[in-house]
Amino acid sequence: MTGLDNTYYTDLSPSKVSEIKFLLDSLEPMKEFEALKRLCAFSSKGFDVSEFFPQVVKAIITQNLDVKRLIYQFIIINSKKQPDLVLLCVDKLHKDATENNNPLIRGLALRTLSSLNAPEIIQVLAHDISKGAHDPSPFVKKAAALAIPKLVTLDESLRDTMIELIGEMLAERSTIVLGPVLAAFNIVCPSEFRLLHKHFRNIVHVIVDLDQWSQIIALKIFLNYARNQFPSPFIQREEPAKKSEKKGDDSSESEESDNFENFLSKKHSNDRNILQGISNVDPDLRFLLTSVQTLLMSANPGVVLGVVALYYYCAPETEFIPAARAVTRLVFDNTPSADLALKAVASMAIARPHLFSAVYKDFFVFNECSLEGKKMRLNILSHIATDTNARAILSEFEYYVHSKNKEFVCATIRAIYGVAVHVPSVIADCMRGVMGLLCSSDEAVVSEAVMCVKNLIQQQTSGSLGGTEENREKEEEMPSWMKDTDDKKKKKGKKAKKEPTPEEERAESIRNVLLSLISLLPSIRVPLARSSIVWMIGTYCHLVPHHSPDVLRRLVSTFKEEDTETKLQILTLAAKIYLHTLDLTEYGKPDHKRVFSENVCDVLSQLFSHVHNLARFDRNTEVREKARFYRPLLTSPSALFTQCLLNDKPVPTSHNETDIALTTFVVGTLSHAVELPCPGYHSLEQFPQDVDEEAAKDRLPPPTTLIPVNVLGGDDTRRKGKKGFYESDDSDESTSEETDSDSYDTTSSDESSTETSSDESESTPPKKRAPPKKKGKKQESSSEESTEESSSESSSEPTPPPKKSKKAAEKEKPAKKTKKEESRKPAQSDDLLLQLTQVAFNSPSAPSTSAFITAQTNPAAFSPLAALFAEVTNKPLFHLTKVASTSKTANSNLSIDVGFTRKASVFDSEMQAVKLFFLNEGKDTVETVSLSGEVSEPRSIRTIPPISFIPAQSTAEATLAVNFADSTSELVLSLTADDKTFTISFSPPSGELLHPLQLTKEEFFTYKAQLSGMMMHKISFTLPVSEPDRVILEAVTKTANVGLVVSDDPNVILFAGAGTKDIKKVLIEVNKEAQTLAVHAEDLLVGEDIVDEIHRAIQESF
Amino acid sequence: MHPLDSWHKEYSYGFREMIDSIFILSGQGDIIIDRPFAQTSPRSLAEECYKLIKENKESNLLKPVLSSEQEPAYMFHYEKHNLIYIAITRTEGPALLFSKFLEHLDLVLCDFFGEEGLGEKVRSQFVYLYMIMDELIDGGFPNITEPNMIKELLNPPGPSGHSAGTVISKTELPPTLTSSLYWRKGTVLYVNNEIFIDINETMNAIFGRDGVIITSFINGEVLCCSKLSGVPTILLNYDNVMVMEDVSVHPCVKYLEWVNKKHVMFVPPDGNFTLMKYRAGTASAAVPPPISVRPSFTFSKGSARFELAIAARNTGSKAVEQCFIDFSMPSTSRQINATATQGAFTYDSNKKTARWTVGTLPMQGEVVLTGNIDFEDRDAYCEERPIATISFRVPMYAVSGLKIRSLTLSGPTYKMFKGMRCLTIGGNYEVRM
Repeated sequence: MTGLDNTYYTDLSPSKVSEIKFLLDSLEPMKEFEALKRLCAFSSKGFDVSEFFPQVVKAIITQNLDVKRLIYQFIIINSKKQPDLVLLCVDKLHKDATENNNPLIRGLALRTLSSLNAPEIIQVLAHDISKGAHDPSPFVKKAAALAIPKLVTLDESLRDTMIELIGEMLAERSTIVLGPVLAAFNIVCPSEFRLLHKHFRNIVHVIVDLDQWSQIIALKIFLNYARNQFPSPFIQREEPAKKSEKKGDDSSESEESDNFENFLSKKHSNDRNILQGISNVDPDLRFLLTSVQTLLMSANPGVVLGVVALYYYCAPETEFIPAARAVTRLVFDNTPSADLALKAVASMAIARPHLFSAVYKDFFVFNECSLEGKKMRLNILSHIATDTNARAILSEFEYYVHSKNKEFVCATIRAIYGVAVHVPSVIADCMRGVMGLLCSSDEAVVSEAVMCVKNLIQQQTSGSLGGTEENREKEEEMPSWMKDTDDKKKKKGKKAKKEPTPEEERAESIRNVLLSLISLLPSIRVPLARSSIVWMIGTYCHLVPHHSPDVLRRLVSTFKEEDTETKLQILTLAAKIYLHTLDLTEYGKPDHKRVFSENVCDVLSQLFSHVHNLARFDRNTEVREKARFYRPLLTSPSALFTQCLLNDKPVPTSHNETDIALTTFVVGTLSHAVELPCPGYHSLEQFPQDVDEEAAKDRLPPPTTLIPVNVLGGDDTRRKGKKGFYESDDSDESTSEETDSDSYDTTSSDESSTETSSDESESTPPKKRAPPKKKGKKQESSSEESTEESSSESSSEPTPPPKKSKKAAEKEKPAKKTKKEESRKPAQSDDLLLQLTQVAFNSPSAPSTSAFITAQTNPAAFSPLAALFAEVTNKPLFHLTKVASTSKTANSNLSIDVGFTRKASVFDSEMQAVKLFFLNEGKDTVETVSLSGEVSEPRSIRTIPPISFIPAQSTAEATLAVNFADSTSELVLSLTADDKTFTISFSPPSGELLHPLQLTKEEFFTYKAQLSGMMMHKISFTLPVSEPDRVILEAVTKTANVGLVVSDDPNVILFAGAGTKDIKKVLIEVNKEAQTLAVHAEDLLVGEDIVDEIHRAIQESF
Repeated sequence: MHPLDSWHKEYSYGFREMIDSIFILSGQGDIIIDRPFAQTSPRSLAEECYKLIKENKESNLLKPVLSSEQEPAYMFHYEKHNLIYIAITRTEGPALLFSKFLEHLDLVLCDFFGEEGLGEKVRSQFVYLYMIMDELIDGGFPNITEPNMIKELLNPPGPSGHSAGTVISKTELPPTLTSSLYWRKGTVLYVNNEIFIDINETMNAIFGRDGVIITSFINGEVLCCSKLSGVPTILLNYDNVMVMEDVSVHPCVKYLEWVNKKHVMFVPPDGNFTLMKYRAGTASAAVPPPISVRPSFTFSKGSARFELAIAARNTGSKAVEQCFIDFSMPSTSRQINATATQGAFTYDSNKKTARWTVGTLPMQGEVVLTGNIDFEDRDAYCEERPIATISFRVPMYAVSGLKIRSLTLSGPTYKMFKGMRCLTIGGNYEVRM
């Protein structure tokens, strides 16, 4: 059979061709299929088969789907060639797209119709698209969404209508459709951010459920959105002052483009300000960042890079670290995708080298890598070189210069120079290595090496200028490498008593280099290399006064044979030497000693006039031009020449065009990949100066919970189809919940949903949280049980489903609880897809988004107070304090801050996640930081993984898991850093020992009655006039981790919290009218503490 | 605003962000399918791209994105299974989407036709290809791309290829296509329910001239072949799970279960798929290499002597099989003679490559190759050094120490047969001489 089909490609005899028409007219599916197959083969071969268009269109009435599909294909491919005939099939397609009962055919027809590329059909198409957008089948909606960009291409005037349609479709709740809608948005109106405000949280919420390609698009849209809408999370430092300070620093000048100004500034200041940095992130941006973090695990490198780019451009640098790690893993395949990912890594390594310098070995070059990949790796290595890894990198480079591929060798030489620029302490090693290459047999290698030597020398001499801090640093390091050279050793022996100054040493080393260059000069034939050497000798001729005149003499003798480039440099060399022979004092360089002795000067001036003459009559105009330029030197030398020729040359910068391109273009774009601006490229949005507050208000929580896509389809087949993902393993639970909720139907809907929201907005352990996804599922299952119910539920969206939060349900049915807990265990994973937006990794900075999640899951139940509560509790950290170090004598530059996340640790729900920030205030890297602690029962602790190093002036974060066991006693830990151990301790504030308790109003008052007398602490206070609710909520939540209890009385705000296992309850009652605060606590001390703290917090708010 | 933005304004809408055309070429450069989407592209672009690939493939000069000389178009390419996939775009777009999509295209075709002889199958059953492409991409944007879903829409050819009467297209829209379980086929029924898990680890290492390891890491992947009825939920547990770093997972894996508990819980797609990918044994936790090496290279005027001794180590008493070593010799070498204690040595003087085929390594002791290189220029010293790349396989052994502890099924009530195996192969296992 296979053989048979192959003949389609080869047999193009005229008889076969004429047969096609006949077959198409037969109206028998088999024959039509056969004919279409041949047509496909012909078009694959590149023949124009559009002449069969009329016959094919005639056959479109077929009911056979195989034939239909092929006809559609044929029409799409050939529509451009037969624009007139296209109209023949439009009617049928239009009917198929709108009237057919089968959604498959509707979708296919709409797809085909939109691909036709015929301006005549615009009206029909526009109609069909808007009809398709409201089709019951997601398949058709999808086709409609993807048809929008095609339509807009055909008729620009319809853009506005279509933008509105896209805005409408963005409300789509099926992820299957939402993906294509986002794609259309990205193509048609990527900067219509106003459309996104309303749906922002909803889309971010479901981004994990989109298919991989749509995720890439969504991430791209959100990158632009975030840059356009949110205030910059990067802290602006006082630009001018620090900038000038850093100007001379070579290692920090890798960023030039405007886009990177932010990073440049941030690089130096952000680390110090990390704690402020966290609170600086807009809550919505924070939500976005947290939600996409799990996507770093995606199998699709495009998605990973999308997330990484988002973190790179929009997140504080410390949070970028896990992303940097994830993007590094992409580069190890040997596919074109890996090379593209590598390019992205290169961009990031240039801007933030310190994040990659620890993993430098990951960028070592394998023989199998493509040249592009090899070069990119070299580039990365040269940027991430530091004092600690530079030698390892250089010894690796030493191997590369023996490579077969000369282009790679040249790239290595450039990279060696790059290392020298970034790590001045290894300049001498670099110089020695490159000098060895000057004798290479390959011309390109030699010229590259000479260029490198030239740059290195300039780099070195630049150190003698001025006395900035950087230079002094450099000078300190000089001696270490100077010792390496043999000459130096001898010298050291002689001048044992008198240490040479760094300048002298530098001059000495340059002299050595120059001497070897001079000896190599006759053997080097590459023009570029030769001219560069001559240039160097000219520039530094005062350092080799005995040799330079002789070099000039020899060069003059071969002047005629030299290349133009070299001739020009010889002429310049002669001019420079001649200038030195003149009496220089009158030209404003008082300290300049006479370089050449009297008797040589005469000869030298004759030599110069000889060279000048040779050049004057040279064939090349450029050389003659240059000669004319130097002519006044002979007649009336002026100070200007000294300024022109003997000035200090600017140090070449280490970047090349690639670096600039890499840092200019947005990571992940095609322009970035090809290093050229492609049509349609837009540079990244700049963070807005003033944020549009209105937009933030528009960013409403999504309309309701996600309805599983299955239900959306109108077709019965779909509904009867297999069970959904979540149903199968979870049916027990959902039914049990169903019964639960039934029994609570009496509870007023408003109240119950508010409760749910506050429940989730607080950091209850993830397990206990009723995951939003499940709600969707619940709806689904209920809808399957009774269609009526589902429709009533989904149609009356604003009314929340009469369900009680699960936790509350559990509380009231303790007997049932244990059973259910057990039965739940295997099915627990169904929480997953949703929870990951909340818990994410055990990342150093997974912030709290619970408030948002709540907002999304129970939006309709959003009372103003609950909304405000969600807002004020949405903070990543609470009770941020500096940790006291008990051993102050320990010379530690490490300061530690501790903050409470109010979240359960990912290791154990009984434990609290406590965040530690290690700030290295010293000048040196602190290495191997580890923390250990012994706690007595019933406390338990899980310490942080060891931190391998913390660079100077930067911060590392780690999450500690502690079970405080309801005790505020001090937690003592021993910290080891740089092999020194000292003790640190901190005690948890009593408010942090609580977790929010979900109570109804009735329950609250029952408990309150029990906790009276001694256990009640009551004070009165004064409230500020403006926003009293906010002040109260902020004061209370700042103090204690409690939940909101809904009360009917607008003047009374109730909160409830409890210690572990729901004992030691704390009830807080704030009466706004009476201006009293009452705390009822089982633990007297806790109650007192909390009253005091809340009171203080309220007072502070004035 | 970027200065070039203004002249790009006219392009800023319209065809942005899409694939203009996709070509699939046979290994010989014949166009099998030429499918325009947003914009037609001349076939000469595909031919130009093919030429560039062929010219630069050998010398490793191929760039991930090629620019055409004929017109301002960019070409993404991917070569596998004797097929060359080319995507053309003229405008800005997410580069990795295009690039990865081509890889995915190959994956889908493999799944649909079967990996064996894919190049030939695609060619002979091009009708399917037209239909698949139509589903995969709509207007230049990836549409329905899950291999299981393509199979839900189109019936794959039978084992003997299709005949003219076979119905290819299914007439009803499969319900799972629009479900949240979009990667799994709807109705699956097997008499024997089986699942196979393969742990394949590729060991990469660089050894210095002294035989000391410079850097090493393992690229691992967990492949899964699922032939299970109904909608099964699989729970996979590893021993030694801490060795896995930088994990990426198939969309079917529940992320949080993995993040929190290091369990892999998933509803598998039907058929073959890559469940997870990971790295192991990176700098922080290097593993002992399965093969130790002892290179030596001494050169004199016009010639050089080299010696390479290799021995199997730390393979947990598993045999190292199919071992062969490829040498990249200096470009100036004229003649190379070498003798080995085991296996044969061949030298290709055109490509300047040599291969030492060793076979199975002895469990004890080492095998040694000694040889002599004569250079073209008798008076020069050699500037370049040879590089040896060792390829090998160690079946039933995972070098990282990763093991499957348990594989359990929940949901359906049938019993399933579980097959698990592991394999370690040498990837870039490089010795610098």
